[in-house]
Amino acid sequence: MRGVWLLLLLTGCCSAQQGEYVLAGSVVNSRTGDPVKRALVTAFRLPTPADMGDGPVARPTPAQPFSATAFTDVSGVFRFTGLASGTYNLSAQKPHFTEPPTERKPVQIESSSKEDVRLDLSPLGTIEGKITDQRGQPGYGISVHLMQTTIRAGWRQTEVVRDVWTDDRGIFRAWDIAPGRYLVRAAGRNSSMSAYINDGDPTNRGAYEGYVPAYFGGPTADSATPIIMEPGTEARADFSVMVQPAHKVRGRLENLGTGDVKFALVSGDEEVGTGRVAFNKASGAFEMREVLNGNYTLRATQGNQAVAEMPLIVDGSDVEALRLTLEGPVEIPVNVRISGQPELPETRRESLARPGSPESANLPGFCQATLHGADPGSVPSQSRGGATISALPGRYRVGIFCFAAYPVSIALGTSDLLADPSITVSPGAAPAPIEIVARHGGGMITGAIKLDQEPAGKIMWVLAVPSVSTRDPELAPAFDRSGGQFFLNSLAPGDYTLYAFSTDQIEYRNPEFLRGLTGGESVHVEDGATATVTITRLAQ
Amino acid sequence: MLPLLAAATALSAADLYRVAGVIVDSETGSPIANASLTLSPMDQPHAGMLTTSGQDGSFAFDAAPGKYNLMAVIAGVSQPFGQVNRFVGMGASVITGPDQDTAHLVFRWHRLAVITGRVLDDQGEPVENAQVRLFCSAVFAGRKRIAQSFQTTTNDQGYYRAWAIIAGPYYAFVTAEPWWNSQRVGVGGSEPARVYPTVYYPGTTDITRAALLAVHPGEEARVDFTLTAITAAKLTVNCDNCAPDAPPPARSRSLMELRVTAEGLGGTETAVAQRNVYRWPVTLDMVPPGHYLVRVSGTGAENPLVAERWIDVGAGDIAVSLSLHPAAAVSGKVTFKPNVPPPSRPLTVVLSPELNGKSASSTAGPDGAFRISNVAPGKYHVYVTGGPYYHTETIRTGDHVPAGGLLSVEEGAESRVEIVASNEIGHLKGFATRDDQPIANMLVVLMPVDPSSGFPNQAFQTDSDGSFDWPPLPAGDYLLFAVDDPTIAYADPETVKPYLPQAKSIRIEPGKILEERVPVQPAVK
Repeated sequence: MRGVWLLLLLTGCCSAQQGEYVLAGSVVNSRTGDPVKRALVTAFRLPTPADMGDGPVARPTPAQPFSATAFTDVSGVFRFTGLASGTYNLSAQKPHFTEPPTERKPVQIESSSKEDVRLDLSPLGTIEGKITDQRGQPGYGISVHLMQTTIRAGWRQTEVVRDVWTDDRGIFRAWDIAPGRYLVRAAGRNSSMSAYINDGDPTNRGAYEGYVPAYFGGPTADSATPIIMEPGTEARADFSVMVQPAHKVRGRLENLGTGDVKFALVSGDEEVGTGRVAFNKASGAFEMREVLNGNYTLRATQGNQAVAEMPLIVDGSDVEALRLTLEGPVEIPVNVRISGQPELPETRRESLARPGSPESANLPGFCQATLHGADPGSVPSQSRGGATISALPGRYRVGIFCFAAYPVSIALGTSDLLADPSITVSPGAAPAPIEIVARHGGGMITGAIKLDQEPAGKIMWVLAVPSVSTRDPELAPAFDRSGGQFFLNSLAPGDYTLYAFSTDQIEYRNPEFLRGLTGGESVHVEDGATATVTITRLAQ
Repeated sequence: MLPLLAAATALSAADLYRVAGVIVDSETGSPIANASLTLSPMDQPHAGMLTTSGQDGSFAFDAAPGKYNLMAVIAGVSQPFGQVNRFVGMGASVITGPDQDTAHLVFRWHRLAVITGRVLDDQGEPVENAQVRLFCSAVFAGRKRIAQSFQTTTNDQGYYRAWAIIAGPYYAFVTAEPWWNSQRVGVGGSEPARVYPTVYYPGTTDITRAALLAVHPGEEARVDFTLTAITAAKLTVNCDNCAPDAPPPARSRSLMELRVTAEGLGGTETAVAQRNVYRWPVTLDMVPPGHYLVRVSGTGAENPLVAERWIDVGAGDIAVSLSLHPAAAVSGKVTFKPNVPPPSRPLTVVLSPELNGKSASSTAGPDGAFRISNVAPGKYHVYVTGGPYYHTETIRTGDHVPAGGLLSVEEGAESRVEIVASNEIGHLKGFATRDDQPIANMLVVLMPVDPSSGFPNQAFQTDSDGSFDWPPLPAGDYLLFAVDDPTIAYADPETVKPYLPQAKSIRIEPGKILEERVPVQPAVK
């Protein structure tokens, strides 16, 4: 069968055969070195000046196509023939493989064919397992979450990156898993929210048992056994979950608007039930199934329009007649006062707007507030024009961004948000304004990271940690191609320690993390001045 | 078999009665241990009691006199007590009280099955994300029809697993798209795309050769499929009169919708393409072989416009040209039977398709006039909703009564229907009997004598005491019979015909309760 797909699933291959050259090679599993059969290889000829015509955009004609595709044979070999001279980008694709994150190197054909091109494909991994209950019975229909911890804007958060479920044998399988560190969590019975229209029993199902959420290796995230996935890892995660008596929670959602409603049951920081709900959109009646004994927060959200939340205790019996009232967003005033602002004609602002330029310090400063919800998937709310910020009732972290200025104090009523940026937005009540007091200007730090040994990545990162805890650390990139140079501006005057990292996945909002850092360079920043630092080692 | 009308077992001075029995495998009769059972009053479904069957399959509740719903749950799947076979889900209520023996119930549990297998391509590689569908042929709302009962997808190894399915015969088929179709990158794609034709069990792409796969209770059936990619056909659709400067009636600058629907097993339809169109013609370039309905619709100056045609797509490209015309509509008037007051709010007239398709509806005006536009051709039941107990008394199209009470809608035509509505209702209850003894799990069928009522046949599976007790029914003349097979297609005129000679003629009077005892007839096989 080799000849069948040796060459051609073609997109324009034949009409590309206007030359005499051959471009051939093999596709290889980068982990094992084995050939990858039936991979789809695409050769894309980079446009030449002649192709460009008069404009900047290449205009291929039917007689002069830019790409061709071919499958590899059983030996992983691909071959394009009759190609014109030129520079070609080659890429390979195959289910359950990914191209390694290295730059594609164009292949040049000028005066001879090239038949020894090697394309690597990196295999993705699988995690398979079996879940049983304490009686040894298969845990069927269990939602299994693959979770990863990531750092965003200095905060550590754990996200569900894949959701699969067990079959009648208790077996689950997740594939195309990229390298990384994963936790596997059994999150209770899988079910999507169902709709019903009558006022009777929405389910009539005898769901009087439920699975206690648990992780592979332990009952909690802290006690769980992480699975480290390398390219092509076939990991196994067999574990047991407890079946316990479960109950139903019924009630009515009031103040319904339009849009889809999502219910969530939150225990501690974890959502423990989202889908096991029957909901009557006309009447607002809902029934949540398989709720185990415990203390929860019951939450319903209607898009980004409204939210309802209430504490819920389930203790040995069904919970009836709850009333949840959806509340719309609250407008929080944001007052910004920046002292020392320069007067600048409008016409000059644009010419000075290049960030980092010495002139930019002369631009009028501005500050804006952002509310980050507890849910990793939530979209942050940002103040527009410094006037108000719209947020649904709930708990948030306040982030402040200032340009050409630095915050001196941030407060919400009597709460000092520089010390603790957490706030709770309550429904209905007129909220106190977020008061931002800033000062125009600030100091700048420029410098470079110069290490004895070059790190693998293309970007390194510099973290400036102020000596006082009421100011946020600042993170800035340092690019290889610019000699590892970096700059940080609009810094509040004071002492800082600078640390170099090869990644931005650093938990710099965590005081404990900051306390453990070593290997930094100290620097003093003065208002309106520029300090220069060279960092020669990575932080520990 | 339920022992009926034996001595009641009163357990306490509080008038509790024992509901007990054994849950067994419906095929083997073996007791089933550790099944969860719930007993819920019919009028308070949330106030259920829970128990677990013992090692010998036994279970027991103590309940006040009343009517109860008894359910069993095994591995997350629930079945009602009295479910007669795999697809008949009515079940039978348990009646407790004096003179009722509910202490010796036999709960026949229908064991579930699994269909599993692997989908490979013609190179022996797994096909990921293939859609595997199971269709069953069963009685739904009294009519035998083919409908989808399960859908799943293959994993990265090409495996699928349809679990917790009801044992019985299934059609199984798989659809998929080659993975490389979504990877076509770069400029200059001029070669035709390739597609996988739908493959039906037992491995045919010819829908007429699709066969039923019999799956037995507890069985894990294995069905593998092989998909072979072929060159896809291009379907080019043109609309003759969709251009902005086209002559009436399609002189519309509004967006048109193109919808291509594949005809599947048993007349089921699956949308394969749907897009908004500004400019014609439109070419769809990845169409597998099949029988398709091409439909163009849009908004005209006054009425919805539509054009549709069935086409067969084979190996070659195909072009179809359509001309828009006003869509079919149904209009008419709702009046009321003498001495019947109109409801406080106008009624809504609903067209419900006889078999497959979408319902359509419109609320009548204060004068009773209604118009339902954009109705797909086909046969429809016509009924009214919106007021307590209001129902269609008679339906007429001109001087004619629609055959079988079904309104026939032709493409592009305007049908006129006169509806006389009423809210006169009565009650019907009684027992199905054999040798004059009530008998549980029989099917009692009620058929209106006057087809112009448009009221479809009704059925009731008798409860544990052999009784039936319908919710309020339109007053009128009916035929009533009972059959010992609850699975018959009771709304199909041909199916019920053999039972009519021995059916009882009854009249349900407004506001009255009619009690009947109906002898059970053996089912005609």
